[in-house]
Amino acid sequence: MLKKILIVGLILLAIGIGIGAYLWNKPHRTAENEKPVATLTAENLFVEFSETEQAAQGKYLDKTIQVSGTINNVSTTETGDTKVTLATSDMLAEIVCLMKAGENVSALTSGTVVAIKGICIGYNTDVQLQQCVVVKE
Amino acid sequence: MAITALAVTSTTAQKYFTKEGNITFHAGTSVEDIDATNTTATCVIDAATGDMEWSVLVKGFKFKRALMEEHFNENYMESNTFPKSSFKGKIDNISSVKFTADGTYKVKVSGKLTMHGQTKDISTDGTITVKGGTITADSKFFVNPADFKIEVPATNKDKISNKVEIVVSANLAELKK
Repeated sequence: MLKKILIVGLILLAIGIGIGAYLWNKPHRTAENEKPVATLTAENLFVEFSETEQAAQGKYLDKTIQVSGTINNVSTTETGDTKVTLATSDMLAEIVCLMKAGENVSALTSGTVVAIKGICIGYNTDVQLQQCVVVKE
Repeated sequence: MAITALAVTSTTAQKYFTKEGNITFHAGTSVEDIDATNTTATCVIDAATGDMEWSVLVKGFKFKRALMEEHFNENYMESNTFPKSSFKGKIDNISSVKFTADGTYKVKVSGKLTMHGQTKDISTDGTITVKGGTITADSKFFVNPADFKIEVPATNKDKISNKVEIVVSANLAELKK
């Protein structure tokens, strides 16, 4: 009887440690395997946020969306993330896409058109997406 | 669209701006490190009036651990409801900053900090560094999560500091009309 309790206890402990380790090392959520809730152009996304921010937040905040547009710039942030910006009709506003770690952007150059899928985190002069991937044709 | 409005009206007053401001916070204790950084904060400084504004998307804070980031957004900052944090204030001694002469100037900043839907008056010290037409703004201050109605459950009281250090740093360029 005691032995049984001990074995059950050890199994529960192992499961507990397993769950703990999984949660502790849980990978970041990325857009890679998520289906976009909307597919739109950089310009249309910007217009929605700049004109009706509340409504756009309700539709897109924390959701994966697919955006296509012309690349303004590809750079690296101070924390080492790759950042791709897409042009809008407003000189000061862009769609800022922080790519997921390890995403290959070697094919992306300024002035070319690209489709990017990412998780929308809101509007602050720019509309920002994070954990993005390049959408292959 | 405040930024565009600023750009249009800045024919006389000199404004400095960035969309790549850095904000880092340290909310941990000796039990556990809780650090996160955001590299896409906006900052505008009006060199004439000393008006200063910062704005940042809460979901843009990157943590090393995904679970911590999830808890930060869902349990503490409730970033689906309150996606932005901001500071609106003034450099109180703006007249002592010479934007045309290279150098490092000590400044006093005061204003309203809004996060988690709550607004509090804060004041802090900082520096403005002028170098060849660009300026760098740096400051460090502490906030208590309880002041912003951010509840820390009893089980995490030893892990989350009630003096969260916030470090801000931005390289600003002249805002072109």
